[in-house]
Amino acid sequence: MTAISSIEEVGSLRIVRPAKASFGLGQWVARNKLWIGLFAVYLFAAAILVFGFGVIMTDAISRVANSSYVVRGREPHLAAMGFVWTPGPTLMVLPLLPFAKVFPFLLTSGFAANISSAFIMTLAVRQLHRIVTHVGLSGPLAIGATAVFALNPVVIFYAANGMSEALSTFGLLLALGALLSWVRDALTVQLVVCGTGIGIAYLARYEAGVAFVGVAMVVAVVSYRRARRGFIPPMSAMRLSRAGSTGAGGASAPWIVLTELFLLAIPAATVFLGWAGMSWIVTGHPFEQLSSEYGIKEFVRVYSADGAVGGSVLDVYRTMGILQPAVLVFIAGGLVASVLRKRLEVVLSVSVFGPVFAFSAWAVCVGQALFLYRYMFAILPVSAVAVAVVVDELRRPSIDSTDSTRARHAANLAWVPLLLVLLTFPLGAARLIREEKAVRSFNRYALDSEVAKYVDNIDAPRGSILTDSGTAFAVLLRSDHPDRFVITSDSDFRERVANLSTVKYILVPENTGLLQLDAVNKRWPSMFTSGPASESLVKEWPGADGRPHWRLFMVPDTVGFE
Amino acid sequence: MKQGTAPPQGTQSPTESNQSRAITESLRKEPTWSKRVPAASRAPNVTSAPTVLPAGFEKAELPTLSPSETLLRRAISQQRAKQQRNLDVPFGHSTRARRILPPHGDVREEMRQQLLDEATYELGRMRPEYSAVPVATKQQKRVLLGGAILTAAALFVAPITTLRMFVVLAMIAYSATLWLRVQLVRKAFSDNQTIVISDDEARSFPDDLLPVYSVLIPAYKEPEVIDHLLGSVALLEYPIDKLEVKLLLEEDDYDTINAIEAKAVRGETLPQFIEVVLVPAGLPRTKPKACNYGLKLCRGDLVTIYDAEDIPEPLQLRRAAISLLGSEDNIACVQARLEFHNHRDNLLTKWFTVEYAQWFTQLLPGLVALGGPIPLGGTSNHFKRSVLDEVGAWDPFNVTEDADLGVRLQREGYGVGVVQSVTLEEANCDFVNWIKQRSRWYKGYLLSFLVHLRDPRRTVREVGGLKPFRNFALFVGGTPLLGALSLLMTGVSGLWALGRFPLIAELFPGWVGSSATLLAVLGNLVVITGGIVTLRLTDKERLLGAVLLTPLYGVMMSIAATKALVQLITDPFHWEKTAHGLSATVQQSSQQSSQQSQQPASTATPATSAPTTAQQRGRAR
Repeated sequence: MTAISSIEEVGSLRIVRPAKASFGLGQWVARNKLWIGLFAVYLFAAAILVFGFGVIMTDAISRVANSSYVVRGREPHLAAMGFVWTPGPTLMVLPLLPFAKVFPFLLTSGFAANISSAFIMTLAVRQLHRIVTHVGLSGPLAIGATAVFALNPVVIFYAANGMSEALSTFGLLLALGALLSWVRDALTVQLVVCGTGIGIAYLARYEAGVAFVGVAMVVAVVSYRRARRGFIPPMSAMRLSRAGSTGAGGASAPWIVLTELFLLAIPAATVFLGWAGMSWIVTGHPFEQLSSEYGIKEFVRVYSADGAVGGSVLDVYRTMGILQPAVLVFIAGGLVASVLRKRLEVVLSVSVFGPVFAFSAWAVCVGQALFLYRYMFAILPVSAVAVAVVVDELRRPSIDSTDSTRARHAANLAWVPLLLVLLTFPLGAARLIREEKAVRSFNRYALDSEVAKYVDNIDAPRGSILTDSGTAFAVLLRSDHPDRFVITSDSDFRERVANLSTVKYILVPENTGLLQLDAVNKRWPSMFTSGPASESLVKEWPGADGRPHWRLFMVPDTVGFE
Repeated sequence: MKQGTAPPQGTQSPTESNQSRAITESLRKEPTWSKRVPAASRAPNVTSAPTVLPAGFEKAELPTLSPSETLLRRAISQQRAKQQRNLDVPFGHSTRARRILPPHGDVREEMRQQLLDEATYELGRMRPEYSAVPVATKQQKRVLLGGAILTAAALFVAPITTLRMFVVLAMIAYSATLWLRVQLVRKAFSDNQTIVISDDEARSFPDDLLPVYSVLIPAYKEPEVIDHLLGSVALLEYPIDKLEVKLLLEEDDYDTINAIEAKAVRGETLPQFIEVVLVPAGLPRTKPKACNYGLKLCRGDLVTIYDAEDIPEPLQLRRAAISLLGSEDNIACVQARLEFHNHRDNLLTKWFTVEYAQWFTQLLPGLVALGGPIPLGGTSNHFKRSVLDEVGAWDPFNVTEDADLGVRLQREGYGVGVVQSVTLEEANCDFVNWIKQRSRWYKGYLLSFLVHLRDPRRTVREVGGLKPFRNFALFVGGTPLLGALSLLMTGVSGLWALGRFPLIAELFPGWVGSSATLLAVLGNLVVITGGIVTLRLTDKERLLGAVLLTPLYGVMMSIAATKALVQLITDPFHWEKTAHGLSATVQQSSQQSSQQSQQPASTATPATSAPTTAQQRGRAR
């Protein structure tokens, strides 16, 4: 570096501006080839999953159905996506739906959800890569540490299967990245990003919202300590000149802490309250996901009758061990590093993902949730960050002791095998995937196709078939005439369920298991067995292997419908 | 800014640009603040404070020359060269100023009237395309009238569809202005080009090289100003022989004149460098006209304006001088930051304080970084005098002449910088007054918007392309628009979401309603979080409560913006009359002056331009 010798040469205010690279598609691709590649991998996995193995996750396809009610059907409107399920993944599917005219499998197989989750998981991994870089790794080492997460079979599975884990992980990683850089650089705006990340995660999985608790605690402590020390954020270089000012400064520590907490809380609270408010306006309940007849409580009630709910601490521990066997070792190592070397990365990761994990584990252990291994998903990003920190700590002595670039490269690369080992470790997790409840029945929606085909062929006018979209979503997705159905989100649904003479047909599943939650079954428990009147059965589709057993009835004395 | 002013990036080597980045970083990191500030209110050196610094940050080799040092050295060398050139002329004042010397209050009456005529009509004669008279050109009127007729017809034929289209258009406009706001704040963080000159650097500039500085202080009916003026001007650290302060009073402002005379009777005379200038009576009685008049009488190379009650930071003139002389030649003006000293008065002053803080610390620097035209603030803008003469100074007929001048400078190829120095002002603490002031600003912004849209293609070319034009449209046109729409967006979409009134449900079909609600929530979110970030950056955390209530401030802005819009829309004929009368006077007076008539042109003005609005008559501040 040479000092600037001549004044006139640099006599410009803008000497500090680096030349801006021109923007082109080619450059963009070149810069993002890694992520484009990863997206392709996830997409490929999704295609194999859906079209090769016929694995369609119920949650994924019903999300596509939810978002399809927003744009097609009898009463397309935004609120039709429903308030029980998280809106995030549903909204993420929305932009893909216009293409369904050309690629019908986006709807019929729910593949739109898979594309969306693959894309969002790619963004999440990219965010993780930023965090790993932030930790201090670079080049192949950073890519390796990121790959420990990105290529974990469970992560690939959830990137490919269209579920909500991708979006919630992305939101939490966004929050973590912002939190890390706030702790490092004290750029206040990062707190807004952090709060937004938590908000996004909440919109993907409600339990991810508890991350706010951990983050808020970290922010409060860091902010208070800084305020007490009289620390000024770097941007306050803007405040250099304050002579003649009345000294607005010198706000006390509690005010500073409060200000920073508000910055964190406002975006998160807006998301939380906004969603609750919308739910309240449309359904009358602010927390429809809890109170609704399709909500979590009912879900758990139905399942606990089967004894499928809950698990023990040992189950949780066992699952963790399968997901990433080395996780505890590395988190412990990371925590040691944070104490000895004053690095906060692992502590901050735990503050973001820890509450989410703890909450899920608690809910499982007290029998408030099903035992699904995906509830333990939160440990995966943490373990990746912890691995990065530990590797960074371990390689440091050999890096610091040499001046030669080549030796440094060698020292860096020496750690790649460790990452490879870590990568192959969780292969046992593939076993877990097979255990996942939703995966048990492949090709389960073939029957729904038959139903849809039949209903499309009968001469049913618009708004004449009553069915609950909560159970018949796959039928609705595969039907070419969704406007013939009266579905749950329609404004007149409740009236029509109560007064069956306003419809011509009723499509109803067998009154067992979760299907007891079907609105028609709830209102008319004997509908499936005896129908609205004698001799009214039009067609029956016998179910097997967990598939619903459908019956289509015709209402004899129809008053009228539109 | 213009293409011609772009830094020679092509020639810069990568190491150099890295180095430059390091310079900025180091500058942002290290507060070089002052001995004058009580130690307790300022924190210790930042470098020692954080435990977690960016990797490699501490290792960065600091170059020997910081940007501010560069400015300083360049300013000195420029002044030296100039001094060398003008050895026989001690102060390089402009020829125009010399023409009318001696600049004392007792210039002959004839001369005064001629100066008044120039101050009032010069811009209209020199650059009629820049003058706010007429408000709209014939073509613009035709377009507006056509648009109005079309709208009326559409409303008649298909009322609901037309209104829906308006709703959608309003949403697009709202999102665009909101988007620009976020961009500005982002830019202010990532590419802040505020000129920061430390106290030591400011003081190190040799006194003998400092240019003559003229300070214009227009005042109207403010008898208490004089004591205040003595107080704040006495604080300025600038060599007395290089400083000239013109207190611009209206000839018939007896209250203030009497107050000064009473002082003189008591034997308290004004210091030599303060001069009272009586501006001859004549319409429009506006601040820009008084400033134009004062400008003709001053000899400074650099000129600034303060309001009577302003308290500029003592080193502001030095900082501004170094910034102006040291930066690129095309930088014609630097704007200092305005702050309020009475923010504890009430909720209104708190809101106003936060708004100003964000405006000056984020939005204006953001605009500089985005290369947009900078609407200048009312006071504490420092000009190169020569440029001011060249572009025709302030437009006496524009109610926000400062914002207009900023755009005009850019169109003429000049740039505006933002200098780090605070001027304390008094915030408007009365609701009605606030509405009046704000609606004048908004109307002025809209007026300037119309003026510079007379030939849009030319404006696009002159401001330097579509991006600056976009900034201009979204900032100058968008600020009143954002104000007017925020209530509409929040209120109407709130009604849509809550009550579902038939008409409103009709206007917001399906996704329109949802997006409007989302947009309203997003808009308020941006405003509130932006406000809180500002609090943290400017050490005003105690105003947190006020910021959380900002949506109510938005309601007030909406009232003011609606008032401004209505004044501009429902009173076009009123304006037109004024405009016709005035433009006739302009022609008349120019003919007269070309015939060297004995009759001063402006004596005819009061009669012809009688229906000037209250806004014009009132002192613009």
